[in-house]
Amino acid sequence: MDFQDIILKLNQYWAKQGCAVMPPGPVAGFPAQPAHLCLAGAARAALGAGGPGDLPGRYRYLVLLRPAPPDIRRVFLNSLKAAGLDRAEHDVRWLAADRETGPGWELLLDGLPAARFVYPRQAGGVELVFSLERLALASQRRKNTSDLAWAGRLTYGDLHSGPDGEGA
Amino acid sequence: MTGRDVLLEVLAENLPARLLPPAVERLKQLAAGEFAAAGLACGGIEAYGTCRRLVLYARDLPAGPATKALAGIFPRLLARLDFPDAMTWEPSGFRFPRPLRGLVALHGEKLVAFSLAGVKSGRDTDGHDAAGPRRLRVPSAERYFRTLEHACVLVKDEERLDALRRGLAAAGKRMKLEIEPDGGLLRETLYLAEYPVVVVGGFSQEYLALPTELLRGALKAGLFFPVADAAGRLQPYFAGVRDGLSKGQRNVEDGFRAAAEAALAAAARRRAG
Repeated sequence: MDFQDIILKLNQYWAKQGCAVMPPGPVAGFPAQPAHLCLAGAARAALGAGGPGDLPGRYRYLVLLRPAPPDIRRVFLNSLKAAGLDRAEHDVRWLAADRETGPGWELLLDGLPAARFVYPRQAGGVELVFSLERLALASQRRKNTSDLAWAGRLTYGDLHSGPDGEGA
Repeated sequence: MTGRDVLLEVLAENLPARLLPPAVERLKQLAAGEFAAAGLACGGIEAYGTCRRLVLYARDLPAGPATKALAGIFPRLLARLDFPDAMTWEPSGFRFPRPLRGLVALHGEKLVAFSLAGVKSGRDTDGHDAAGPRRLRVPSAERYFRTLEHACVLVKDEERLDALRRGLAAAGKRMKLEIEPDGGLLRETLYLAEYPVVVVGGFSQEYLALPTELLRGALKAGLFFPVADAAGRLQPYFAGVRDGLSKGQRNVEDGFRAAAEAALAAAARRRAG
């Protein structure tokens, strides 16, 4: 699945879950209000991201859901499926992680960090962050980010001249 | 008339691996105390844990008023588990390491009805993630382990450990090399997969130039078992453990290799400093 199709499929999937799909932008975090909220959208990683323990790549897909639905685990796995990654064909393991913002997991997709899943203590609800590069690498079975098909014959490398994994 | 077995399964979002062994032990102890206090004599109490489940199993409890007593005991037991790192996620304020999403409670075929953390006990649970979202009906306490095994979940810790050890031994034999069975990593891996499947792979020879202990440490930190020859010299291979059947094995092999090499590259960079 092309890089841009992954974004489009995720937008479609989360819109169907009742999320407001936001235009791409910096990661802003949960607004304090309202009590019921669902936001989703592609975003650039924050400056300085890509350090130890962080997700790889320049681009994130961010989902904020408040409250977290009881079947959020399945909703999450289905979103991977929407992005072309069937759980039956890929390994997913959940490494428990306690972040400053709250408890959650680092998700390993075929052994590599691909997403974060956090229950923020302050804001409530659940926050999901995917590395779009990692989803695309697994989906397209590529080793290098620059070889990823972005849209048809246009590659990730054609669109980004800097080295892989830089935050901005 | 002899008694029927008792099952309590707590289905949760993935529980931290390090919390599971003590929780399993405590669940067993607390249950023994509660059963004794209620005058329930059974033929033995067992407890098990996977990354998604805590399971209590008691054999041979006489039918009749016991079922009702269990409905009082089960929620009390779970509340008394008392985890060091717990969160709340629903209005009742029940505390657990991660959200609790399902309860199966049976005495033979009979439902033990109670509710906890906004969840009602029932007869349905999840099978293995890789099998998709189909719900699984548990016909009776006695058929629980078989039902879950058919859905690719090895509930019993020692059965998973056996499967893991067998998988590592078989993979080692195929490679004609020794996979180092690190105890800490075995324990952690045991609570990261409901159906552990061993996957072997190789990494670039250049990393063999790293000091042996650094190499071992980097592989283990990446959740990989080091591989050595008969003389104990490390080889450019590793064994990893995936959760689920060996479908899409190429995807997993490629990912594991990239993960192992990333861990080794990071260790090499730290050393070069």
